[in-house]
Amino acid sequence: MKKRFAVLYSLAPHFRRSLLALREEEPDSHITLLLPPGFPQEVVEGCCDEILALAPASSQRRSLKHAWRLIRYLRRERFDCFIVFFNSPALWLLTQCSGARECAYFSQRGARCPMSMSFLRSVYALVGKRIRGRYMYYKIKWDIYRHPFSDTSRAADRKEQDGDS
Amino acid sequence: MTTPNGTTPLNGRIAFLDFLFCWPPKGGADVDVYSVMTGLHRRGCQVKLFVPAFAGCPGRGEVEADVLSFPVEIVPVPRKRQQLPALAEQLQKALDGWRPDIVIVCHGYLLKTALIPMLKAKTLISRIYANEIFCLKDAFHYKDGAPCPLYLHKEPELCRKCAAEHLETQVKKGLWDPWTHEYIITRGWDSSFGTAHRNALDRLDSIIVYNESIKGALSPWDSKVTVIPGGITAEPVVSASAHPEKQGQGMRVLMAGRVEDPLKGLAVLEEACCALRRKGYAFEVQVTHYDPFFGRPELKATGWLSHGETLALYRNAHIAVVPSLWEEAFGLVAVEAMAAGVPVCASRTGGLQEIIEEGKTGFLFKPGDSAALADVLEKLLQDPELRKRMGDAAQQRALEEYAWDKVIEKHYIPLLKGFLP
Repeated sequence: MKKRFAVLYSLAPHFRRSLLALREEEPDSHITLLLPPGFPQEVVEGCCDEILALAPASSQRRSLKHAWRLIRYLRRERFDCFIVFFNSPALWLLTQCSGARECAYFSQRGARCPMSMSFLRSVYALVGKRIRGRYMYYKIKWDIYRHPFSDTSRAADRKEQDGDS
Repeated sequence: MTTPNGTTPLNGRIAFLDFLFCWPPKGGADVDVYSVMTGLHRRGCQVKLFVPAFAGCPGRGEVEADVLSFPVEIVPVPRKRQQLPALAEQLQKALDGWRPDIVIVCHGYLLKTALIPMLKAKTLISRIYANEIFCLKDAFHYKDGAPCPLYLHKEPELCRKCAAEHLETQVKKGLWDPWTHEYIITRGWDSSFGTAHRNALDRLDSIIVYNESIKGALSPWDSKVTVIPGGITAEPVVSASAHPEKQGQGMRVLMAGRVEDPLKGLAVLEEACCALRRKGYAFEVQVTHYDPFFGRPELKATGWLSHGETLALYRNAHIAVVPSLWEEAFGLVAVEAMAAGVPVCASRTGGLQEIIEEGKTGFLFKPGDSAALADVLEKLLQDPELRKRMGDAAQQRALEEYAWDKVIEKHYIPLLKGFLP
């Protein structure tokens, strides 16, 4: 029986490249591409067997309604593999709700990798970055307070120019 | 003396130090480094690429060494050693292990300034790829809708203030892009950074830049600045120049490159196209925007394309447009279009004004002036003879001046020979 893939579109640079690689790797399987309505189909020509206009467009605000519609479709179809293009917490959640037997993402190099996400770790990384950013910001502010900006270089240049003239 | 394939041999050991890219190259300045290294390697020169791999910085310093034609040494930089003295020590150790005659510092932002005075090498050369040498806030040297009139080596205090204001949000959020990352590692806000910058320029034995206007801005170091343009790999571009499909098709205007960047001037092209459509001209405008939805009534976006696919676009284009607002250091898309036999309309700015010969291989117009762009586009749209004449002249110029082999023979070999034992 044909293996059934569902792939969610992305604007990532490796979108088309990875899709073509998947087609080459799995020539006999059935690939369904989930695109936003109005997506120019010539961009994905030859990469898939079926196109469904279920994903929100890049200009649209993502809402729970979009997600629910997508999840309902994915759960009904029970794909063998659901593939996205990033290993982000939101996409991880979507893949977990999809009901597919296998969930994967394409790395920037085009390799198919299993979705792996620890919720706690991602929260920790996000908070950690914020704290690190704030700390660095106040450190810079403190340094600038100790050595404030001066206009000396411009004054020196003007003096030089005056001397020349 | 020449090698059997007609190239000049070069003996010596040249280390290339790159702080920014992933390898193999994907486009832009990394292709420049790659092409020069491959060209020198083919001429018998021993070349080696040194790449620091910063922990916690994805998309930077990732190397697939097995697909490169020259050796690479990856210098791991763990988080706790991402400070200047430790980084300099590690890089120096790697360089000492290979003992190069020349070290060429390739792409990097503020790290170049900070590390150059700390490196010990017989000969130290730096290649400037954009305007990173002039500015503390980014590589574009563009502010308030115009090229910035300040230069880091002339006005270090004003640049320090501008960068601190500009990068504040980025630093605070903790989402550090490569520029902000280097700003933090090098302490770009420090009052001593201006002096370090001048010291770095003093320390260099040679500075390679893309165009005369960058050279002009580095006038205190004039004697060691050499202008070397970028190049193109001639074969695939030329094969894209056979354009039988153009016959009998509607007119196509192409804008290639990172068109989503506002400094590339897509809005100027859009305005010019609207004006021409109002006059009754019918033509299609293709832009290499990553978002296929970007298409407006005037423009058709292609989505992400590989380099090969972009070359195929040149084949079907009648006119190429490069309406950049910032001072493009080189303008690779202009040269690639020229090599495919397509006349180019480009802004009179940076390296573009040296590439395009006004009225011969294309037209130049004032940056941001959509009416001037519409005028020159109209001339080309009306006159197929002019397009053909300019396209042929453009192709000849591109292949004679900008094919990598020619660039290396004409510019790099004489420069490097002067420093080799």
